[in-house]
Amino acid sequence: MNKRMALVIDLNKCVGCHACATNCKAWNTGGDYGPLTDVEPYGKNPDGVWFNRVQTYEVGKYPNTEILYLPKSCMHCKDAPCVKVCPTSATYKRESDGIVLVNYEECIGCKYCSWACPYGCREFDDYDGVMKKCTLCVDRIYNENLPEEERQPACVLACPTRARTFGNINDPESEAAVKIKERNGYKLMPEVSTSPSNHYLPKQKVKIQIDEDEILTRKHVIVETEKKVSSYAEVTSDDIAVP
Amino acid sequence: MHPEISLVLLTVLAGAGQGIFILLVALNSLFYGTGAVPSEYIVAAGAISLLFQVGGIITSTAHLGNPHRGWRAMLMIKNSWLSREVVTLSLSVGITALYLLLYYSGATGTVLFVTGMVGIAANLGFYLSCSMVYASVTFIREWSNAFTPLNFTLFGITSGFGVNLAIAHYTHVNTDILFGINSLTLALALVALIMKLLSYRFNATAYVSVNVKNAIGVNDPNIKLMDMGASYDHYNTKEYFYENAEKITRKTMFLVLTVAFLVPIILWTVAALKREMAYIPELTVIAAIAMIAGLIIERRFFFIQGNNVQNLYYANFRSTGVRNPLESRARKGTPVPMN
Repeated sequence: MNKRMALVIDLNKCVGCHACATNCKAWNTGGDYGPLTDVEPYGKNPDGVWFNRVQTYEVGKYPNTEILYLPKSCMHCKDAPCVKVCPTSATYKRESDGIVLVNYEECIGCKYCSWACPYGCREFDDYDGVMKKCTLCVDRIYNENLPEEERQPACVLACPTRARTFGNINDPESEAAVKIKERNGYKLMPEVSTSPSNHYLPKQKVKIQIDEDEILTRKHVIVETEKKVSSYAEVTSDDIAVP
Repeated sequence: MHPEISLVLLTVLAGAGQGIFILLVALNSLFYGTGAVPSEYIVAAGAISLLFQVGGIITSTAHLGNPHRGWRAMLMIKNSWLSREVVTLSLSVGITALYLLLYYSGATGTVLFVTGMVGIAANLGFYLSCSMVYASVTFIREWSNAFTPLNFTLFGITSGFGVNLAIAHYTHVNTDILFGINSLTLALALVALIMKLLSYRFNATAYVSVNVKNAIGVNDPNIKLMDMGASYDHYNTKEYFYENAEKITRKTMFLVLTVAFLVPIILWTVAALKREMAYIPELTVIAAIAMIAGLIIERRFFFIQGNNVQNLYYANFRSTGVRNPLESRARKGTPVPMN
């Protein structure tokens, strides 16, 4: 079976720090699929191409609300609508690993692929006149000049909470596939039959069982420690023997 | 969707240009050798048809990021409707030019008829593929329905016939034929008006099965966008969203119905009821110009009405139909409309 490389993003761990987005931008703007052009980056209305954006939603009604951070980049769909509509075959899906890429040399910049994408994960580069999108850092993951542990997408390496896992989801033994299975990983817009490769692990309400005895024991320990500390505090310089 | 003026002009002008060619071929085939259709008409209508089609192609290149690679768009005819559109349009232009050349060089009626039929097939292929470019985007419900191919074809043919009528007046076409074209164009315009009204009605209640709950994967009816992941507008909020859509919706619908349909229909009805009025060429010119101008507004509004499901992520998605004027722009704290 061919590989199907994908990102598995744990929404329970994501803290919305945008490190994945900024590291993605930093790597890719100088990588094989760059530059990610910026327009007025320090101006009043900054604009530019990003492969990855983190959106923030508030879920629930006050006071029972919670924040959901949704990092979103190309889903590398199995049945990618952007590939089907491209009039020049500039957008293509690699059979070997399922990554959807754009050949900038062939792209005419008609934007049709972006209309066909329900996730809004393609961005037009006004400067180059071509459509750009996440490449799953294809110039990193097979790059033999990098140490093996660094052959991962830039967003995965940057995540401080390790919310992102990268791997072949067609391999049931891979960490990514195991996480999807164990944590009920889901796809965005499952009903539109694009079959996205990227999966999200749902937010969970963490509940732990604490017995009353356990609380008492802990309390006891704290009390003991406090006593010790207080006894140390009572020691004065007069009590210290000077040799 | 953001109304791209180059695509608006391409679809309207090329559509009208091909409508002109269809009627030109039909008239020349029916009345070949009778003298009822003078050569001035064939040359003038053919030239204007070419002008419209080539004008459409030229304006469409403004939409491309890399126009110099535009020829590549013909490569994926097997998969992409856009590719088919480019191929059929190029074929139509080529055949229109060839038809004129053959006519000018004195080709026989059979040769002209066969060439004309091939040209009409290319024209119909263009109407279908051009409209399917939009109708095949299943994530935009206002585009992805049967009205899109039907209306693109009907409006293209009607406007082409309308322009033809004006040309025929100035090129001494037989008065009975003039009256026939007038009646046919009027009938088509009435059907077009009904189709437009039906499509507006459809779009007012169009819905998709996607909602924000499955777009982000949270089963809660209260979801608010707090931050769209960018400091300011970017490609996704500019390309799929038209800021002034709320303000212009009703006015534009009224304008389209008046300029593109009612004005030409009234003028052609006057001409059909009172035959001598049909010989006032200025009326038919006004009717044709009104219809083309109206269709440009109509096509622009067609883009604006397009509501891509990716707007769900930016709280820009309209749950159904015409945008609710109270629904403000996607900004912090804006509730995402539930479907």
